[in-house]
Amino acid sequence: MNRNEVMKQLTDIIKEVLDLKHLFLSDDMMFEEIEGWDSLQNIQIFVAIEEEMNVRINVDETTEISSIGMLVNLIMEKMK
Amino acid sequence: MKELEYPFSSKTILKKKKSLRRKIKEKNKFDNNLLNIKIALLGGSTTRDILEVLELFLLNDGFNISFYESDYGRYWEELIFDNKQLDDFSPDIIYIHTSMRNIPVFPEIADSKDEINIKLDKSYNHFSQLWYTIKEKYNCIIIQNNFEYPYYRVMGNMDIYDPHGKIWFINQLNQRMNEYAIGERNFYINDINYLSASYGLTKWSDPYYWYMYKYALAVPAIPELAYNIFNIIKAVYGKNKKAIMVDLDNTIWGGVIAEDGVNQIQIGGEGAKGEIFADIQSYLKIQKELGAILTVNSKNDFNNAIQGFKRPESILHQEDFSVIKANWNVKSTNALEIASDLNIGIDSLVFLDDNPAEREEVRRMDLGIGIPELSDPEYYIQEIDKAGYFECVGISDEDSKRAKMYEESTQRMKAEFLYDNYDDFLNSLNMEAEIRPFSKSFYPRIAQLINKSNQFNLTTKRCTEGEIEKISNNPNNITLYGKLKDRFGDNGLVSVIFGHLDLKQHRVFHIDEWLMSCRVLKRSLEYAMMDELIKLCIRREVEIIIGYYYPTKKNKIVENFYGNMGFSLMEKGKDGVTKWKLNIKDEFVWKNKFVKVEECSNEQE
Repeated sequence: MNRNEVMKQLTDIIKEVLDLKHLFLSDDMMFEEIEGWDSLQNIQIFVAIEEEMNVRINVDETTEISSIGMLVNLIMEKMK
Repeated sequence: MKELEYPFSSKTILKKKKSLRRKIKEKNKFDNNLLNIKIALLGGSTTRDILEVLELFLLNDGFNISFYESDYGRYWEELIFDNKQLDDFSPDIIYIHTSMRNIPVFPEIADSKDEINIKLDKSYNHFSQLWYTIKEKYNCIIIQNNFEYPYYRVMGNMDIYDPHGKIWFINQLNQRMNEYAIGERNFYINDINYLSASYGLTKWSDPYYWYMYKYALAVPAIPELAYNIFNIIKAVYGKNKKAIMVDLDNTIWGGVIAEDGVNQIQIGGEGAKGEIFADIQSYLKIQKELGAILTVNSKNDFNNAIQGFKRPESILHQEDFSVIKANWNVKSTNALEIASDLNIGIDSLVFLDDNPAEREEVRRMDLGIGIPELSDPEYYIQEIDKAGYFECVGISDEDSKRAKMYEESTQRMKAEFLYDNYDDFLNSLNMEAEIRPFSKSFYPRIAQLINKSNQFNLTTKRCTEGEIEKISNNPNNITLYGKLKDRFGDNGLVSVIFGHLDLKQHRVFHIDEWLMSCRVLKRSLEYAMMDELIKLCIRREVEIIIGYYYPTKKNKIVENFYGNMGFSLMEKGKDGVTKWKLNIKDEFVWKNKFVKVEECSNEQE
């Protein structure tokens, strides 16, 4: 999967979990800027990423990432 | 809604929770027959998703729910001590979501048999006390999780038969709970011991979810758990299914009777197929003995069809069926007639048919009939059973006599473990704290807390690990973290404070951030933190401490935090931001009463 495909799948997951009609993600977007993204939805998003992209975000990684760009990088890194 | 009927996809439910809820709510808007119930969910671990998924199943079945959710991990305190909020809520059902992680004491290797028995009593009473309190105060339905096995066995196989083993201990506790439940009206066990085994304990107890989110079970398993609770609730409220309609050919015997002839259909005797269908018939027979009504809904010639029951190996006989529709009508028409013949609601029926086209024809009519997806005959029993259409909740009179006996003996034990007031309880926790300036090894955890805590968080500042390092290294700042241990275990690092000395105004200190994890709410740790902060401030010759509260959607609980700590309000902004002041040059009172704070030798200067 290339970066665009990861971004697209991530957009679909977040849209579905947060029940949003429209969502445009960009690398510099912080999680908290996304409507409805809080610590509880965080769980659902990470669980969905694991289910659908087969990538588990580890305990220490959650504290390191705070933006969409960082998350996409991490997913790409782990998919290798 | 198909997504919420068995067999559901847990993955879909978790991901689409929000939109599913919106859709059912819209659908239910026009339904005047919704059953209103109030459920209090008291958890020993995180419960949010459990509550949300349980709500979906209930909404989908015509319930309208209001929820009370305990603070994180406070299932015990919120029941045992005065709780006006819960009293006012007046629940119809209290669901206690606890797990083996909430068992207060386990045997240790050096314990004698007597010591282990005392621990067993103590652990059991910790829970039974809750049930008695609920009975007295709320007299409502109780749903209580039993205990799942731990995901490791220190002693290997011996863990189950040696009393020092956790598995042995959990089996004893579960057994005691069963004995209590058997004679107790309004008390239902949510059998997570079975659920976790059925799901796969290794997956169920994946420790990742505990360390990440403080969930006592894997998040993907939550729909299974919620569905099991839903089954108990719907059964208690009389919404179980009442009758089963079975198709005949390839559903309760192998082969097609009209084509193969009565002697060629497979039922009982030699051969795998025959055995499978004999087991299916036995399962249905037991359902009948438990009260389900059996009926036939089959495309067949009537006289031909009933020959199948005359086979000597057949376990079900013609007289086991209250209604037999063997004709050439569409099956949904037969279903309507069966319901009317039995004088029950059409939605009280379950329909078993091996043919997906027939299932689809009935499902399309949207009559509320339970229609499990059947795959291969060897899986039919599992597929019917897991749907939980006939969850049993009744008890016989004989059992309730035994209940009295248990009641008396447990009442006695209960008295020994009650506390007079909350202070006594806090004292009994033997809390010990380590409160010190930030140090490098804790930066990751501090960053995590700062970025995750929402409720007990005065200013909701977010920072990275790098920023924390800078804050910590700036000699102009004061930083503190708090770790808390109690007799139940180590809560880890749960509170963070940092602030800076005013560069312009001499002897003034500003608190930039003060937060605490919800795990330790109402444990009085904040008082110990305050005392330590004041000590450090005095050492730095501070006379005035200034605190700030920035309101967010989630931090209302600390709105008056500084007021409660003895600060006086200086100003209140239009946006709700408040600024508070404490003069420590004048007299102030040390506040910590319950937490023993470890002496700290090497201070940051």
